[in-house]
Amino acid sequence: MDKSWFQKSRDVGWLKSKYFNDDAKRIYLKKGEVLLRPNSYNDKLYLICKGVLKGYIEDEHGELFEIFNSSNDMFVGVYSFFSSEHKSYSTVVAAEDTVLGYIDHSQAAVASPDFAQHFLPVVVNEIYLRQLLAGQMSLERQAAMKKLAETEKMSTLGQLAAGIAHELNNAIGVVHRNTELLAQSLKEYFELKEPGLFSFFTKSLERGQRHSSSFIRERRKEIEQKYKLSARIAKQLAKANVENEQIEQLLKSGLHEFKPIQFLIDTGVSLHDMNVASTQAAHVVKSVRELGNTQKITLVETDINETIREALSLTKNMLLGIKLSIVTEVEGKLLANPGDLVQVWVNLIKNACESLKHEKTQQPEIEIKTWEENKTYNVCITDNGPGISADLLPRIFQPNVTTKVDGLSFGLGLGLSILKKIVESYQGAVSVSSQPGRTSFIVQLPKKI
Amino acid sequence: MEKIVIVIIEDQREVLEAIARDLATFEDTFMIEECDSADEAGELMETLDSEGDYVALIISDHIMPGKSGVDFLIEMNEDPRFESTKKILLTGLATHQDTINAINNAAIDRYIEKPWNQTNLINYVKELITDYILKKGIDYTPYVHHLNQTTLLNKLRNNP
Repeated sequence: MDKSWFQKSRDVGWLKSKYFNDDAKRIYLKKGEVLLRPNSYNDKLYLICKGVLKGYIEDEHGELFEIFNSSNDMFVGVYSFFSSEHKSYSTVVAAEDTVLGYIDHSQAAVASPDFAQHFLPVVVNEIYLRQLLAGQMSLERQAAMKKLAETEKMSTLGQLAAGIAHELNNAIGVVHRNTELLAQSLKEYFELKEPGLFSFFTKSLERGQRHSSSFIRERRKEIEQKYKLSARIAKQLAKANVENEQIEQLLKSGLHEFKPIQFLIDTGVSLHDMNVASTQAAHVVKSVRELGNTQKITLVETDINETIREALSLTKNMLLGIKLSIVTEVEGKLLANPGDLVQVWVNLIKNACESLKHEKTQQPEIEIKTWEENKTYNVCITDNGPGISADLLPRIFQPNVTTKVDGLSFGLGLGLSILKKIVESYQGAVSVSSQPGRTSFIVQLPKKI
Repeated sequence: MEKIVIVIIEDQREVLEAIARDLATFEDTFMIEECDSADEAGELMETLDSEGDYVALIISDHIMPGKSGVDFLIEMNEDPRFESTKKILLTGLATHQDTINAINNAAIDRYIEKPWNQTNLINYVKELITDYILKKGIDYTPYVHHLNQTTLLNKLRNNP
């Protein structure tokens, strides 16, 4: 075998000068012009002198997928030129103004026995490139399948959660409604039967047991000592928030009169607590349903603080043991899908909680602050955890960057990249600053309604 | 007469109220102390100890702001003054690890899951207080109506 042709043929410059030196055989394409279409006849082999060509294949819906991107000194049309049927398999478009040189089957050079030898390396290279592409695609496919399985798991969980939420919604609705009904009927009944003591009921119904356990203990001791009463009675009086004057009255008229008072107070507090608990449960259920609702694009007037409250009720479990302070300086309303915003807050709160718990931060705290500035609502969620490392910080909103996701976390968590997309869909922005002991995420949403 | 105390620790006001209400039947004889944090309970334990009262039983939630229930119970377990005090962990949210920790290091006597059942809760409290009173050698006669009769009888049979 003649070594010199083999070496020469691997040199594009040599091939170019030997086969593509005819200035008459030039094609000038404007950006966007189509060179080949699938199944169109092609008996030319093209060399890109200057410019970029992109190849696409089309799926059954007419959507185009890029399969190659060739620039200076690369060959195009290798398959259709060398195959017997001379048919292009892809759409080839100029990605910018492009100059092509070409040879075709009418040329004598093509018929010469050297020709195939000279172009062997070009063909091999073409095979190699395709092999590479196939390998890459198969890897991508594997990754996509994995992601799909993950997504499906999440979506199954989401559907399950929505189903449970729906069932619970009905049940909790009954409890909630009947609590209110019962409170109302008892109110009317007591008003009629016990007009003098009626206020004990309404007060405890409205406020519940609002004194701290330590306050009650202090007050109990006070009553115990001052009136020489047993600890048990003193505690009941302290819990019932009975003033000294009233205690003195009771002592005069006999302590048995305290019994109905205590009954009214206990009933009121019970109903109050039931109301609080069922409202909370209803809230959680509503939030879960709204979270599942993010697909539908329905924009409604949304209260930012309300969405924060919903996010907090969804993350209540995670927040246990963490000191939470909320500063809302704004009555923020904007047009949004409440589910989107809830999802954003849930994610940020969840990240903060995980970071605090993961590093076992002492006296963990989360602060949520909202304020308005230059017609923009700002929501800042700050934790006192270990912070995000400096090398990760600039990339934190990029896809595929994760701090950690261990196992299923109830399908509420999304990457920060998706969170960013959601915020940006409202023309908003999200930014982060972090140092050990203070990590803040600020979400800015333009105010327009 | 010495005072026998049951301490309840629970950070959620409504739940604390509900536990106390379920145990109100004991209040004619025992003192029930309610605390909304482990720290408050820690201070209370000091006061009770200095006043010479008996803390027969602590019923604690686990996950609370500040000190966790298990951590508090471990402290109590390691404090010789409260060595005999009975301990119930009443929680809906303890991990596997927390539970192991509670059994091994806090020597809890009972683990109760939320939501609890009133009858069961009362029975457990009865049983544990009976154990406590017998172990401490306190005269049980004033409390007999709140004690577990089987445990009491067995004890009498063995030490007439």
